[in-house]
Amino acid sequence: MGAAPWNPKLDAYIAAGARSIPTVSAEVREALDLIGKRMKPAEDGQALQLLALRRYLRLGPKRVQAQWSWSADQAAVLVRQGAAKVLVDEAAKVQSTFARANPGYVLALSPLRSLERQVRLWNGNSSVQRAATDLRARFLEDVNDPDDYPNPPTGESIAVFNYTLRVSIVKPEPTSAAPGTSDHGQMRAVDFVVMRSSGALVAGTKSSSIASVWKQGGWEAKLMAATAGTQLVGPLQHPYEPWHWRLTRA
Amino acid sequence: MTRLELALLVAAVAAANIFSGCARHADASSAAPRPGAVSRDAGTDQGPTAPAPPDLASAVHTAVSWLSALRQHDRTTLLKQSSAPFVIRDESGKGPCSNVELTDLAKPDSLGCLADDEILRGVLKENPDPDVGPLSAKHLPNWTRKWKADVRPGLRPLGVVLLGHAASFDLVILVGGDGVHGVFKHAAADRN
Repeated sequence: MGAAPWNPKLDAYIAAGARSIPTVSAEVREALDLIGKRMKPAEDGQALQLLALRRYLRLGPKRVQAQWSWSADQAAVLVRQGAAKVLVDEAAKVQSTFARANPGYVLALSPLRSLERQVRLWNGNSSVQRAATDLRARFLEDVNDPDDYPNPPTGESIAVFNYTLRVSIVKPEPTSAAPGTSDHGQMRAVDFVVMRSSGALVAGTKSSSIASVWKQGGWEAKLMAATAGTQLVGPLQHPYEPWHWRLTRA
Repeated sequence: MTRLELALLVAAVAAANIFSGCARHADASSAAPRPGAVSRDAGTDQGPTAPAPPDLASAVHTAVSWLSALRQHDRTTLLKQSSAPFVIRDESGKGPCSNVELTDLAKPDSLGCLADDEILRGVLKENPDPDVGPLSAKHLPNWTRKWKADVRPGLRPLGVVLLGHAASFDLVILVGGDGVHGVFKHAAADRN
């Protein structure tokens, strides 16, 4: 992914689209701002912002608000109560069962994932980068049309931009949640990784390890067996992540 | 698009029309025809030209009402709110409802493959207040561009995303002054 020149007109539409999302406009703008600030020289920040905006628009303001990552202050309080505490307790049961069934191996848990951390994962994810670059290239062609996309944007052209972005298909489907919306931001889900008791990683959270390590190594089935009888459901199906489990839907 | 957003958008569009109208009030072609009306080229008088698409507010209302009939499995209302020619396109290209072109809707089961799609109906039930909004007929969403010819003059394309637990759908609904003339659909695989 090469860093493409920043397009000011597309920038104006991304900013206008972010401002137009009711209720969560401030959160969305903070995330987009962080995406731009945390990008590495080889990353296309504008494309990554556009793809993230698409996701926020698809989810809609209610879901974005409900899923938005806890701040550090919120996390300090909320992680020890309610559903987050139940999740941690259930994950501890899985760890214990797994360790008994697989001597020499343990399960480690993913920690709460801050917005900052989600931005780094988003920017660094190769499927996100490929999808974002393709999406940006297509939208640049569209927004160059001054009839449909005047500059500065109007109420009507912003709506057209938002709905077109919302129903656009991206390929590949990103394997990372848009910053702020991860299940891990409110401890709604946990990622298990398999490690040797010595601390060496055996099965991690890279998509490339699913077939060769999780399936062929039998870790997918062993983790599934360890979750039996707990309140955890999984693994995540879209995209498939054998390590990603969440609480039973209430 | 919520009712409030729609009202604000309509007001903004109306304001924009007022201002642009002030700037070019001498241009007779700027007079907006009624939704679905057949306009005539005053300059050449070559006969009827394309009908004007419905205004955004009434198009959104029609699409939301049509989706409601689909959700409720109300075939009678669905047919009443649909008009021929009618197309159904599915991005997957699979199944009986993936590539349908109807020149009339006289039979009660004309839209049966849509009405009987239980997965779509289930997702519609999870989205009782779908957020339908405007698209550009010139710059359609990427996956629908192969069907651009279906967006005939006089039709207004609208977009809606329906996220569900078991499945999700992207829909582009083609609305004319006399009802819905087609739908493009894509079963999405959204993360989480």
